[in-house]
Amino acid sequence: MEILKNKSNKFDAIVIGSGMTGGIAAKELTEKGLKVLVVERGREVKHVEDYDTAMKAPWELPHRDKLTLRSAEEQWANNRFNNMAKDDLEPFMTNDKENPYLEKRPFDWIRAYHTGGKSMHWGRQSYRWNENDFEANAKEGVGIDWPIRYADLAPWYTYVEKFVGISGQKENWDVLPDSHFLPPMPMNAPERFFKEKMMEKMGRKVTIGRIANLTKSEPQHLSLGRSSCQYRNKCARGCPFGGYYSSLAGALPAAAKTGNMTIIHDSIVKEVIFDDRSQKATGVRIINAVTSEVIEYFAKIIFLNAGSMNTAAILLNSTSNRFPTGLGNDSDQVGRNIMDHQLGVGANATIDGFLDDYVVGSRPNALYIPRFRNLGSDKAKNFMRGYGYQGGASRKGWNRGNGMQGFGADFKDELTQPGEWSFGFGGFGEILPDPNNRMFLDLVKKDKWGIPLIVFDASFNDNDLAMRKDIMENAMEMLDAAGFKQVTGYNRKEVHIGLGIHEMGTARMGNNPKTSVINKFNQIHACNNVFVTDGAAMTSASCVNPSLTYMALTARAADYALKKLKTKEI
Amino acid sequence: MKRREAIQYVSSILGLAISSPTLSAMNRFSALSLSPKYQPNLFLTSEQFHLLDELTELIIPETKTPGAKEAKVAAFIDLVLADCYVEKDKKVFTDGLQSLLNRNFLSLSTVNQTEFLKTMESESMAARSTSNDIDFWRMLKELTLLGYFGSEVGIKACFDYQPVPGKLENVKWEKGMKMIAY
Repeated sequence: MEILKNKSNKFDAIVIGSGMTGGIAAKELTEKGLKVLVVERGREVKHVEDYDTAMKAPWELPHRDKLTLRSAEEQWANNRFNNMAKDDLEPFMTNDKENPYLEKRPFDWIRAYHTGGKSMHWGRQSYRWNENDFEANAKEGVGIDWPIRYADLAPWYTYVEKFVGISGQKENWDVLPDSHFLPPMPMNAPERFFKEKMMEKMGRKVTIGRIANLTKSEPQHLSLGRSSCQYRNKCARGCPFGGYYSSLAGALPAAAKTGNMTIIHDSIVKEVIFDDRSQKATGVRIINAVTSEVIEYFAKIIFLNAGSMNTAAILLNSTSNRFPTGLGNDSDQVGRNIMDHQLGVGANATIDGFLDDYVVGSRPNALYIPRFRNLGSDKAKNFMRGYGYQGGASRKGWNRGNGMQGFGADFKDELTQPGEWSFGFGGFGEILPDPNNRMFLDLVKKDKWGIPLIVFDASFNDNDLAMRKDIMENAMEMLDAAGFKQVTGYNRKEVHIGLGIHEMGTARMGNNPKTSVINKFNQIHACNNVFVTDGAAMTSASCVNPSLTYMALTARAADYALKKLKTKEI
Repeated sequence: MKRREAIQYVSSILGLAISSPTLSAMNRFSALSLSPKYQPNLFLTSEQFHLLDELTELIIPETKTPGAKEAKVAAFIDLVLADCYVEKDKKVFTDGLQSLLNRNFLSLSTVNQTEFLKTMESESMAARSTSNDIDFWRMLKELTLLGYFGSEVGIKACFDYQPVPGKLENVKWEKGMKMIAY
């Protein structure tokens, strides 16, 4: 195969992946004057222009909320997440049949190979970690210690929050440090009632979800064409108004503005090229997904932002004399310690009253109940760490008719009126790092481009299962305490690790090169011009949604890389 | 959404001159019939289809607002049966229709048709307490409600359709208000 090598393939930096963290890396590096190549393995999706389903009315989606048999077959993994690849989102999900992976133990891997990656349809919940989250591993003897503390990241949280735009309520709680906030979204009447009851009866905190939707568009958002949220609650289809943050709506346009970004699509990174003489990475070898042509690109620094699992896969596939088991894998930790958040467990109830309350606008947000387990005087008997809840109240609509008896004229008229209120929430639980929860490359089976398939070998352990039980029981207890009716708990058995779509930990940070892959500035210990700043970098998982932390780590690492480039230390 | 409406929404909200990428996006949105993959696939026989049309109207009849027939609910169900249901479930549905055809359901008086369906519903509700198996009535009712309350005719007649609410407000529900559909 002919390999293209010429001067136009040289850049200051290469960023692998255009999603949540790749976007931030590209923005930070281009704004400081570096010529940056962003390599995206999937197809090009243009902000606004290509959001084909964004403005579709319900009746313009041929199957409405039914999943087609074709999608069920082609998107066999993505559809494990609530049949996600329906008419509205199918064009923005990865075809699992064409991009298979293997499961020694089941792993729910949800992917979005296109510009912006999963930032296009993320849940947008954005929370800072607290001080304890960074210290818990060391205090409790779990995994390895984080090489950084809250104070190291705090200014970078603020920096990223201003750019992204996070709506939320200032609370001054240690457990959930405040962000730089845009105005909070309102709670509805039953939610305000619930919040009061929880504090009164159980001493538990409730706040409105902190979310990357613009309740107010500030100049830095307007300058990128981002207006405020229109309360359509169709974010995942892409927002023509730029009302929520995605790499597509935010970081990539900001990077493009500098004139320093080149972005290529359909370009799968096969490996990072390591030069044994200089002991540095010199570039990447990519395969064009359409033509299968192999092309090499070169740069002084490389940022790996391919998504935790693919980032680890690229490292494992980048073998050299110096790194026979994969780039940066001296510790044998690449691909290990897969973490995620517990999902698919919680409780629902119905509420008497509030029948004269109604809401105009569809809120793309929920309530947040921060962690209370194993904090302060609270001690759970049979598990470590804790969880937060997300959920809220809404009035039932016409689809309550499915569970009701009746049909005909009166039935039809009844369904055009709002039903009673229902209340539901589910837990997001912390999963501990375990070296036996891992992914690796299959030695024989390859994809259609000749790249080894990823094999997952991970599952929940006893701590996780005990926590799940507690999540359900506590959710029921809280709904009972609020005086709600028909309280029903759920703990979905078919859920596997991965379904939280917060998969992380496969190239963890640490001070010791023997037990970690990257250092406190996200540099590979033994190859300091390669940075890993996506979820792979995580040393523990906390229980809060992780994207904000990934972005803050990325901005911090980019700042460090720029300084070290200047002093020629990398 | 029609192109002109979409452009008006976007421009009024952004308060900016419409940029050319947005304009071309709106052109594309309005021209887009989702994908050639989604061609209606007539699954039911015309006899079954005719019966289904009548059944949906019994569930959601024309009142002061249009009924299921006007909303073309049977055509929606036909498409969804073809594209979304596995053979086993398809057969539950066609067997259900066939059994009504065999009993000359359509030759019954409206009163008797209604009574017949009430019995069918009672049996279906009773079965639900012991089994998770899908049955004909459950499928028929669920698909009729989705077909009607998700249709343009149904949504615009029964609800206040607000594709771009532009605000989030707690309000008091008052008589005469319509539920909002988004």
